[in-house]
Amino acid sequence: MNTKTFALASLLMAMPAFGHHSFAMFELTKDVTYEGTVVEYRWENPHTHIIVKVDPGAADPSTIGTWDVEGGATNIMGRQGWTRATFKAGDHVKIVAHPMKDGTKGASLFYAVLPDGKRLYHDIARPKAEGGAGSNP
Amino acid sequence: MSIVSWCHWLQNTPFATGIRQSDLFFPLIEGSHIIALSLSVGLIVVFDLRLLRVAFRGQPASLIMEQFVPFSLPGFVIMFATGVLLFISQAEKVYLNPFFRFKLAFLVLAGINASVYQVKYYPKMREWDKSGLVPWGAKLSGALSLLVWAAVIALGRTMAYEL
Amino acid sequence: MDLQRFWEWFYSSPAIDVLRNAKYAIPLIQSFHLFGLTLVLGTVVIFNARLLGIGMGKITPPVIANQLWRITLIGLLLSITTGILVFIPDPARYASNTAFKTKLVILIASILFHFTFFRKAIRSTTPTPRGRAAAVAAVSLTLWFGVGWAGRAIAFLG
Repeated sequence: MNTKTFALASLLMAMPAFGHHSFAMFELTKDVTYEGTVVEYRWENPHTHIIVKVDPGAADPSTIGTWDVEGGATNIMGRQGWTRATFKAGDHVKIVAHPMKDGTKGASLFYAVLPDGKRLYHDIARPKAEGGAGSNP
Repeated sequence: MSIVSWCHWLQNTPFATGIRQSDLFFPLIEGSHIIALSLSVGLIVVFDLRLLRVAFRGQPASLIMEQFVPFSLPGFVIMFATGVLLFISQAEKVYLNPFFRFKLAFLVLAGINASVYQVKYYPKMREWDKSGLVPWGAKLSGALSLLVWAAVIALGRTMAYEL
Repeated sequence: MDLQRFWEWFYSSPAIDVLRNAKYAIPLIQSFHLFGLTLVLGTVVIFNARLLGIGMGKITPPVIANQLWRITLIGLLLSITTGILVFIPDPARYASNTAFKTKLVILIASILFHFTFFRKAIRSTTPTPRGRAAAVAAVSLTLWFGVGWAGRAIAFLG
């Protein structure tokens, strides 16, 4: 590997890797945990959506309310193990996502934590702690 | 029934839901929309450039139009049909999207502009072709068409960036 | 300054940061990207239609070649420039995307073909033999439309 390829490779490794369109509207440096109830699980294109209701009394009071968490296209999510039956309305859910910058109650999905502790990721991005690039530039 | 609730009903019909949940059909329809747009708008822009005397200056405008229409028209039909399908599949979200409303407004503007051209300048194209000059109104129509279609593309793209 | 440091500086420079974080920067750039694509695909279809003898019969091939060649190039230049601007704020996201990589390969093949065999066929003063014209047109259309489809697949195939 010559210097040029090495420089490019190390640059790429230091950078975020995620799925779909520009993430300019989300605060990518923030990983917020939303724990609550699924109001609606919309398995669809161009983006999957999980509407989550976080009740008063949540560990993080700033997350109280109903949030629209946006995922990727069904095909991209499908390859991470998601299906149209992953969630249904009424399910208890724990989601880690990047909130919108403008304060609107929306967020970009990072991953969901299933009851058995297994994680389902939005796409190929992984947290820094696990050897991934993280999702923050 | 309000428009929003009608859109809500529309996007929840099995047909609309089927498109939205398909790994194959949604990307295929969206891709066709853009590819067909390339054909129709691409050629509309070249014709606009003819009216502005930038391209094909040596050829009659009426001839360029006649030769382009067999290609731009099917492109337009596919673009329109796939656009309708995309709207049906996400009716409520799209209806509430401010950029979609601007896009519709610009599409109406493009339609009015084209109709004015058809009524006022098209019938006399062969006459002014002989003189080699383009009436200022036809030039204005060409310039307007160029700008309006560019705006339609930009608004269509920006629509996707609302949650 | 070595290359890696340059890249790191470039990646985190304020200008790139604006591209990455301004809400409408990327959609605006992508609009020009699409506008460039419409010019490329629109004109390429006209070239190939003439080559195949389906339509455009009342305008001679040299006239079409002279008038449209530049428009294709302007569209291509616009698309490539804006494409680079979309790529640089998030290089890793694109570099790991199979559809994107495929798109680059097809794009390079399209450009190579366009400036060699295709250019020769459309600028030829003697009519190109039917079989050869059909082959050139088939390759040209497949490649350029392939670029468009692969581009759209970036968001859906990953």
